[in-house]
Amino acid sequence: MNAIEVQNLTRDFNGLRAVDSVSFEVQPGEVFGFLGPNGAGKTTTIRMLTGQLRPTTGTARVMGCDVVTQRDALKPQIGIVFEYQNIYERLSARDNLLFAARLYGAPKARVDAVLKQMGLEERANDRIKKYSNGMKQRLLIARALLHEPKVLFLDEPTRGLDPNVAREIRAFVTDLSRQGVTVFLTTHYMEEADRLSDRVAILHKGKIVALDAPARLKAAHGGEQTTLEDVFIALTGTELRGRFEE
Amino acid sequence: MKTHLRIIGAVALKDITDALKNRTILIILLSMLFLIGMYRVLPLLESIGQAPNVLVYDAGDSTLVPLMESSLALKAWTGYQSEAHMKEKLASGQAPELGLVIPADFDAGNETTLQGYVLYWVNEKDAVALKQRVEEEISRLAGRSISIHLEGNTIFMQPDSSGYGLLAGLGMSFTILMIGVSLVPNLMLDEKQGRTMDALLVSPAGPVHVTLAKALAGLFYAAATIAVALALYNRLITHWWLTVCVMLCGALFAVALGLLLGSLTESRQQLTVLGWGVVIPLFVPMMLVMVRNLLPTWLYAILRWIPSVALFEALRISFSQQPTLAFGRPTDAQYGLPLALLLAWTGALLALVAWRVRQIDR
Repeated sequence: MNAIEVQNLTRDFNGLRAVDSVSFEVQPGEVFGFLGPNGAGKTTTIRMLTGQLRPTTGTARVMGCDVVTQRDALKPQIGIVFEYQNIYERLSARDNLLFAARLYGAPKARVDAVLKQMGLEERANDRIKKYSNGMKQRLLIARALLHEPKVLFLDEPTRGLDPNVAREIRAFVTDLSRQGVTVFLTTHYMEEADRLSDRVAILHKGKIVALDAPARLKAAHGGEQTTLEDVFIALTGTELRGRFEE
Repeated sequence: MKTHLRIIGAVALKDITDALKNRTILIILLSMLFLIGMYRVLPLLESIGQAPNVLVYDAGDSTLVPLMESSLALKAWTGYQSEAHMKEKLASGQAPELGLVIPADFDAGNETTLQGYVLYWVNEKDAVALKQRVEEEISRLAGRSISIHLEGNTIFMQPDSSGYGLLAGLGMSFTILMIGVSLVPNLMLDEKQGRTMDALLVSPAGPVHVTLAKALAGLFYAAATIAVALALYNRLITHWWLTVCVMLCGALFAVALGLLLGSLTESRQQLTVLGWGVVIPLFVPMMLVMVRNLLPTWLYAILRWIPSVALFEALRISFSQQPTLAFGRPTDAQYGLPLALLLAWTGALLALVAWRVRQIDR
């Protein structure tokens, strides 16, 4: 069984097509990079795959659960790190995680385990207001992993973080993949996507314009010296490049 | 079912504990406690250091009454057409006052004991002190020893009595409604503005769980405020079960209203505008029915359908001596209609909330 199966997924907003008949599959344990310029439809796709948004047409299954009709079964299978830091700032890290544990019915021991895993145990009782961005991001990942999901959605997890924390988080993604967790990753950092992803899909104006392993995409677009960023710009930046050339 | 309860309980518990760290919600709670305390204490503070009020019904044409009117040690209120009229006015007292009946043959000197009346909520110590103070003064004025008989002469409030009961009813109604209108939508807005609602909705919690949990948290704080109000006004309450029942129905209504406001608004500015749009039509009619006797009958007939008025009237009825479960006039202490109205409004609001929650659910 594929971890994620998407068939002709489409979403319209007031007549505008944000995601246009997207289809792909993600294997269990795979790190799947989902790339695209701002407004390409990455977050809308994540919102549909996590049951937050109903597709206009098309179907999607995550761990065999239909994202529209089987949301209750879907929720325990997935973890999400949003593109924004949505945590209860007046609560401590431990209280945030205890709350999440109660929601998911996860044992309390998991709270200490993920706090330790993310290196937050020493500051676990501090209010989140006192946390740095990097610590908040680690806490968000801890919350997403608390109930041991099979699929983890990471929406730009290293945006705005200092290089040390970003590196820690990348290492962590690699570890998760080794443990068999499927990771669905969106990022604007092409080097990060290249390094972490088994395969990447490049989304442009709501459509997938490329889907393959980074190495194969680079080979198809120029060869050894070509970077994933070159491929990305070649596929999504045509209009912009044309405007500068004029 | 167990899972649903666990989720609702988790969100409600988080809200209850988090609210104590939330400055906006703390300010709301403290303001409500201050308000309810103020309604309790203010009328009593006004009477401190003042000569006691004595409402005198003079059955004959006693020479004592003019002497009492000119006395500085007490403030005599006279001119009542009957004993019942005097008692009716006494029932509208704000502070401990004494009602006194002077029999027609008082000047003949046969009578040495007068019948005195106090309101039921005046504590025994205050009643005795008041009695002694008035006894001393009227004995001095009459030039002979006169005692006042108080035992068993307790006056109860009527549903349309003004004074302390009216202020208490107003304070309690106002507080319950404000808790619902301000606290509950703030709990929902907090989740929306911090975008923690998104995290909640991808967890096993759904919009129905979140809404019910917010309702529980709102009811918890409403119940806590009700407990404080009941403790402060305990002497006023004649039928505990009815007062508690009315207050809980009022809290349910207020929480349902708060849930609807919270589900309709996305920012504090929107909440402020919509909140005032709700508060004014609720509170102005309550003020108007305080002067019910001055209103045209048709206007009162309309106002009594407003839920805040129903709450206010049901509370006042619950302070009276013999409230009855009938659907007649609230002035006859019949609480069936206001309570049914309150519940009907609550049901209608909850239906609107359910409709709104279904809309939010993608």
